[in-house]
Amino acid sequence: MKRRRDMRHVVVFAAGFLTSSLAYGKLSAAYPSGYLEAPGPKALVTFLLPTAAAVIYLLVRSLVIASWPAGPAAWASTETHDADDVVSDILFWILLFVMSIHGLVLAVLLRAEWIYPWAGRAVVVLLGMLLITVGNLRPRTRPNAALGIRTARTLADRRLWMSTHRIGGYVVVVVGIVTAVSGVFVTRANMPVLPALVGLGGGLLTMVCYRRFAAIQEF
Amino acid sequence: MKTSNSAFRALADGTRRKILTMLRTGPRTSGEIAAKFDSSWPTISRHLAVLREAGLVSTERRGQEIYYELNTSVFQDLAQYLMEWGATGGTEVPAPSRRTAARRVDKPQEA
Repeated sequence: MKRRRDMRHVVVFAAGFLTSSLAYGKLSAAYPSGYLEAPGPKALVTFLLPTAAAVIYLLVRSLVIASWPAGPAAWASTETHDADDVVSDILFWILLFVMSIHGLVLAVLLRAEWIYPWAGRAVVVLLGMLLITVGNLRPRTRPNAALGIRTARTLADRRLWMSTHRIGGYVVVVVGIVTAVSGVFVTRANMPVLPALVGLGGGLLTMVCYRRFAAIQEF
Repeated sequence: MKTSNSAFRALADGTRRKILTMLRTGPRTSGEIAAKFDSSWPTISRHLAVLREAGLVSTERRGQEIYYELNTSVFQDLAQYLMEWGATGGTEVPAPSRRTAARRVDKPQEA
């Protein structure tokens, strides 16, 4: 079960590399002359995001494993694996987001015209969905070497870490919902109003969350 | 296997929701949690096992003691809030304030 959870990350960026390999040859046909004809830029465009996803995966996994307490007893500990599972879930959704963006970029470069009208909006909606998913999982994280609000105070105080990430999680979920809804409904006409509304909403949300945080901590 | 089904089943019980509300103020041992309820320690221990199995609480060993800590996601918090709201007709909902949580958990003892 644990191994299957780890394998899904590899499957996601391996699918990205496979798609890139298939798209690489077709890009020459789509751009018979011009910038994307040269092998260097073409390879950069087609393989940049899957490579970035693989690097992110390796970095986070190595940080998580390096931070595990030494010894087979700690490796078998339920507590270590529970906390690791949450980081693993967050990492999976980040990789899936990067690969979805990669798919959109390749589709646009390959001149799939059916995607043009909504490709821009899809990026914003996907970003919103990523924020909702990651924000939802944030309260379940524990002090770790890879992800989170890693300050000296939160790393030193497990309780402070938990309350900071719980309230931070609510904020990220709300920001994600606003982002996803904006991606669907924003038009050129209402574009100037939106930043003001988001700024106002964000300010109010920060104030409410700070007050609730202060109530928990009894500052 | 931690499924959303088991999480909803765990959240359906009022005592378990009160335990989760109590854990918002910080990690506690099973003894500290049981001391706040009229129920016996084995009953509370069973409730904690259900919450642990559903992934709503996690445990951390500190020396000889095992501390239970809140492990809910944002949407599980929302589900708990709505279930509490539905169960009490909106008169009593979870709040993060330490004083409010302590008062609510103490209520069964006063009755």
